[in-house]
Amino acid sequence: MMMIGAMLFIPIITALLCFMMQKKRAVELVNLSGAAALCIAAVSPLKAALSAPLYFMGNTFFLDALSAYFMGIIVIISLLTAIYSIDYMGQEFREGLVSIREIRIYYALMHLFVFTMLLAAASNNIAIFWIAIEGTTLVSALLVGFYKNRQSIEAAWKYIILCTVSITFALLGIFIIYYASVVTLGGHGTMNWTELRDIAEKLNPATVKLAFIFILLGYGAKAGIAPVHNWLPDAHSQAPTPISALLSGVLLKCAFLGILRYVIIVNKAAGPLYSEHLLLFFGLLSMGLATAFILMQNNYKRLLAYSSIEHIGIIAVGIGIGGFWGIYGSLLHVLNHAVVKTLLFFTTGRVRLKYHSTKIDKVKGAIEALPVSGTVMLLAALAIAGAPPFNIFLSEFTIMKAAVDSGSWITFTLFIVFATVIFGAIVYHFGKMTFGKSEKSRDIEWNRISTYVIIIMAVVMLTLGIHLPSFLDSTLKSSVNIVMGGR
Amino acid sequence: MNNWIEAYFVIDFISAGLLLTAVSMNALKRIESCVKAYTLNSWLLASLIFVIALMNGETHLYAAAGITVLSKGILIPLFLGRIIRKMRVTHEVEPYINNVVSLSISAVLVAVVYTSLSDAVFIEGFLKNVLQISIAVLLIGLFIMITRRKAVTQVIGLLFMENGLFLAGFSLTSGMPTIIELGVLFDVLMGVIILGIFAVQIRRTFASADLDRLNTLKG
Repeated sequence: MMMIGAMLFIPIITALLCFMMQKKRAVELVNLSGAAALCIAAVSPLKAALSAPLYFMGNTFFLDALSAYFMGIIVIISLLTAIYSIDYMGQEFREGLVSIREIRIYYALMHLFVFTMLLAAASNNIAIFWIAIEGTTLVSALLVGFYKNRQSIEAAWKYIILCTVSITFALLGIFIIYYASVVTLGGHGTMNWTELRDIAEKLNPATVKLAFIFILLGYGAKAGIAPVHNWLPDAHSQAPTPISALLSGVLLKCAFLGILRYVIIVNKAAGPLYSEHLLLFFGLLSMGLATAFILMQNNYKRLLAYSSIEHIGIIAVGIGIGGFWGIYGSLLHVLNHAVVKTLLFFTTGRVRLKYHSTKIDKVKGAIEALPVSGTVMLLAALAIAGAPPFNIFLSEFTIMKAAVDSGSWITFTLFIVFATVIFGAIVYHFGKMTFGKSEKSRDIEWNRISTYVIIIMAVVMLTLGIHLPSFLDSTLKSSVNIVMGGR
Repeated sequence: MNNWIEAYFVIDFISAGLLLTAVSMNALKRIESCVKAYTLNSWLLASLIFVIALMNGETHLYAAAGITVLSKGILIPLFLGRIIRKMRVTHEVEPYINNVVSLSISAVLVAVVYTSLSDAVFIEGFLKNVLQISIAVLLIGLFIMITRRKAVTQVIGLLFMENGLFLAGFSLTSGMPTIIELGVLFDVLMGVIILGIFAVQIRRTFASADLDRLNTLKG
């Protein structure tokens, strides 16, 4: 299927063109049309992949329902980010914070970043997946260090060192899996995930378990699972806000897709209990750790970063509980978190541009100063905290139901406790920011394109909490089937 | 040819050399010597791949050996040398702990790797020693990263880890497909270049090449 090739090709071309354009208008136009073209090119392969897996370049790339689901999220969030960036970077440009050269580099790197994530999601070869994930680190590290001040360079250095070191161990895990396949198949073995899945029952369980540990460590660091999450708050808080949205909304999910692929293999080779216990433990640890840091946070971008750690923890817990509804809730949570966290970064980005600070104490009366963004920010904060009727509530509820059904009461109790404390903390912090008397002048927001992006996303957030469209439901069902070992 | 390789324990000698160059990092005082140790390590890695290629007679392994020499043996050391000159750092490594402690901890690491991999390990044949050495090199690289203050030494530690990883890859699989190796090496190269850029920026914005100045982000 050539369309997969087109999907991978468009972001590269867009990145090159963005870099070559000289005028700001032209760069923005290329950026917008590239993102839109990607969206259009993605429709037919993603739709086709839902019914039967597509292959591209032999067996090297493939799309099944699971990767189509993740790719759909990447494509949509990257389009929204591309639109939002025009406003955000435009204002930074007007204020003289970035030069035209930096604008060009910014858009080029952003599209390259999207390319590496798409490459990861589409690759069938487990080593190419690794190469793509390492590629996301390298490209996004340049974006994290974009402002070239002390904090951002520190964050970028930490990010690249921590992620590269831990992902080195993931490659060791890949070598071990490859070794296991050589032993089973003889000759040259296989590095294609689909073939590994087919022979998974025959792989040596001990070898696969060992490999899974390394892979969980490597990709887990990238996904922000505690205790290897340390890069995440720094990188998220120092990157330009649209990039923070991409990092938190989709990059973490891409890395989690990597873990998920191995969960499928290790479940077949060694039974589900092994991966479930590991994911439950580290998922709950992430939630607990994030709870503590969210409570005493004074920087709202770092708060959102810790909240990402919490939600990755929730996703891991859902997979760890297992069963149809555990996995279903967890996969639904991937989408819901991507939407809401992106929305939160977009709205807080507007707040940052207005107040020129990321300290919670420095922001007061955001609703008064920014009527649309402030209101939506409060709604999204309620959503991320898990309040009904928003979408996050639905997926968290599904996961908790799965916990009750499977009788894992300890998980259920810890989940409830952490979620409740975080609810209180987030409502407290964001309440302080949104209400009160603002010292800033009131903005009319309707002349900005990003206002409409924010409103559309808010509507999606509310709609998904009330009604799950049938195509989403069927995508999720086929994805759950894949995670449970089907085809 | 095979007899000659086996009779003289060529593989064991080369892998011992790999381990020694990694251990020597603990005692080296100048950053330039660290780069030299890394260069030697990479050339040894390449020659090990070459010897395995001679034994197995697989053509793609010759290519792998060539690529390794070119990237890790020549390009990366040249680039690191350039970065060091550009940063004009003081040439002392200044570790957090002294050489004696550092060397003893490395020795303990190697001993732990050897004992833990001796019976639990699932690999058989002549490459078993190589796997143990590769894991030891990987851990020593990590240890160097943790205990050194300068940005460039941290990068060198990371590169030692990568070499150990490549060695592990060869001992486990006797050679990945060439395209995969190229991809991984490309990532390593890009990573070193980007880290070099940031190292120079750290030097410029913090007026120091010491990483303990990177302490502004907390909580």
